[in-house]
Amino acid sequence: MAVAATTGNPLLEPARDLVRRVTCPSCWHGFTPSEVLFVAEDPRLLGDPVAGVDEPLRFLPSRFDLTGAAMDPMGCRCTRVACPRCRSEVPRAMLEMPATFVSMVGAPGAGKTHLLAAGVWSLRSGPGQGVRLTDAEPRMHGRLHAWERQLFGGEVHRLAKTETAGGAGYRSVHVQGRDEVVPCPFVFAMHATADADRLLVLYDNAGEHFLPGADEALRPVTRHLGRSDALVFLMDPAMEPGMRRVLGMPPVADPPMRQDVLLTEMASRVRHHRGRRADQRVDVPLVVALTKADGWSKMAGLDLEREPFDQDGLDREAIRTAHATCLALLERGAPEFTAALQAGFERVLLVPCSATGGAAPGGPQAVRPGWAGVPLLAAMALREGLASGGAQA
Amino acid sequence: MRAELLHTSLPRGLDGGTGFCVAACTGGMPAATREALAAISGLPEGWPGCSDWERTLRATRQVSWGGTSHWVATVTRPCGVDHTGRGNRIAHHRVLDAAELERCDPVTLLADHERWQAGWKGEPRELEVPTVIEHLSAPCGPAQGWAAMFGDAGAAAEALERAWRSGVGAWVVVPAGSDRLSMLAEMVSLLPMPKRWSRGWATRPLRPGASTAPVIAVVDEREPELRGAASNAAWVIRMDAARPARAAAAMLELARRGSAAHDHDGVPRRAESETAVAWQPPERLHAGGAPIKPPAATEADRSGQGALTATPIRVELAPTGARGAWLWLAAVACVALLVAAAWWLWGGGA
Repeated sequence: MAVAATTGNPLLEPARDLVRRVTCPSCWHGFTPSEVLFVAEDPRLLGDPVAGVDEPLRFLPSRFDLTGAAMDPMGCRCTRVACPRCRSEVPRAMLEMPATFVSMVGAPGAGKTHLLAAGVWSLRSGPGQGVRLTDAEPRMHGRLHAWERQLFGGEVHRLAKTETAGGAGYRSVHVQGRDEVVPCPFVFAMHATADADRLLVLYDNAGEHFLPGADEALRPVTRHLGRSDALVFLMDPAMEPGMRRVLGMPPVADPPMRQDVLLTEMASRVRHHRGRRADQRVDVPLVVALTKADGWSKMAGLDLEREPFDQDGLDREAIRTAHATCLALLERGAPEFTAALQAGFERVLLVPCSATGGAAPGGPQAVRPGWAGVPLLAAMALREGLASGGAQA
Repeated sequence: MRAELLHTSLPRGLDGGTGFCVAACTGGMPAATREALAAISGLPEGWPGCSDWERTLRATRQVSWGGTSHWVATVTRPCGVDHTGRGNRIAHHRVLDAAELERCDPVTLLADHERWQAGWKGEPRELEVPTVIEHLSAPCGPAQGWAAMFGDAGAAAEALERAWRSGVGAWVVVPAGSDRLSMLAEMVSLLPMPKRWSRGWATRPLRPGASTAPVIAVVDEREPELRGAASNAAWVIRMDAARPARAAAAMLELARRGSAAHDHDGVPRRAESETAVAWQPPERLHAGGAPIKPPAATEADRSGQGALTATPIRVELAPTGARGAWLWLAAVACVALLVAAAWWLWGGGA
């Protein structure tokens, strides 16, 4: 009988391990799990002074039920949690697993949203990659699910341009007496084995936010650069006149913008937000994803048909070969870009990739990504120091 | 201050950036103004199958920069594809000065299609200071759009009263396919002119708190934002067509019968006839689900007049003379009974 009394009793279950410190994926404020606020569930508790009048109240609980869930002031059981500073909702898994932040940076039109959607889709479903991704909180990924449905459900082959303000990608909060705009992140659980052992936090910024002069205190939407564990810079070779010449593409009259300037700006922001000296190279691993490779990979002698995975995960030999090919190409077509890489970063890996596989908008061809998940996996691998394919700049 | 700004996706903007950037703005516009207007240039995502017309955001809102609040009228609409081949939009903002606020009806301004750019061609450039908008208003007509959707034009008055009470703004949810701009115009026309600029107005949902002044939006029931809003959110107003509209009698009458103008002190002028308007259950309502195409509104609105045309609607009038006499008789009888009871209680009966 004693066994029956204790078995299944939540009070006698072993304590759950929590991380020592959590970083809010929206405002990058660090806090301990004991400081986390809960989100009220009672429909009468609507309106929060920081999160907004349309958000449920956030509160520091003082009453809990037997399973450890907080009770809101009206007695409802609450399970959702929020950051104590910006009061944005945080996936509960962030209290339980360490998180790796990866920033995706690129010029407007470089293909950030497409690569994010295609890369995540590949890592969700692709076999033999050694890692699988699942949503940490599917409710918070409505935007991403819509992109995946559009790209891989045959609705469209080209996603809408990312807005610079408003919409579902950003939230406005009222912190310390002023309005701040914070980004809405994507948080995934990474399964290297049967159990998830790490979270991956990604952001989809508009390219305009990375242009010089766009980093503002009241719109700190790119401050994740200062907290990132790895960076993925998306470089579109078709935007560089020199690369177009080398790859045999027709020249364009008015090239949109210099991507080496953007890279230097990114390095500068990372240094500023980490408090590094101006002459120091950034020690965060950088993966340069050369996008839209379906249009130029054949001319460069790269084969994207075969994904670079073996039974252990990433095929390091294939990645090293692709890196060397891309580096040679960049040195011929965009020497200013390689110079900026060498000046700014310690560890760099070049990876070609294609988010859509060249499917034309409105065409009958299905979207077939090539190496779309590789930049993310490579960034994680570089960060963990597992890949020997990473090149010293 | 009077100023204009256009924000869209271009290979190169006025400030040298690329992508979403300033295509044109009034010469000498301060950087703080540019930034504040650029920050409200986003176009909310639509619902699947949503047309460009339905996706267009028309709004007046109060925006702060440089320590002061300014009224800004905005039309943001999809405009084909940009230089990268992706869907583009253009936001056209107009900062209004005090003189314009006095003379100009907010929704008539938004519905005046000649004033709003539908796209941008050519190089970015600076613009002249816009000319003052002269008198721009429309007479208050019967709310026929509301009558068509809810069976009672008085629904406009009820929606306005309920939305007005919200201190944070409101989303008035209307059936799919409604002509929201016309309905908004009919609703706003029930107010005297000075009050029309004490709230912002919009045809797409703006998050409560997005403007210094509360914004009242007439939104389509298919809006994705509605799914995210709490089911009990006080600012989401769902109209019920199955019961008579409830609002102040004068406002109801104005919505149902219309009026040429308001009194100078803001009190709506009553119609000449003192007969009351009786609500009748609607015989036929929009069933929901299958969207209704905005009938003549699209064409008419493009001409800049249709949304605000006053067209009389048929209302049933109940004779009130006999009922009034009976009410008087009943009141006299009640008073007599009370006097008799008092007399009996205080000794007369003993």
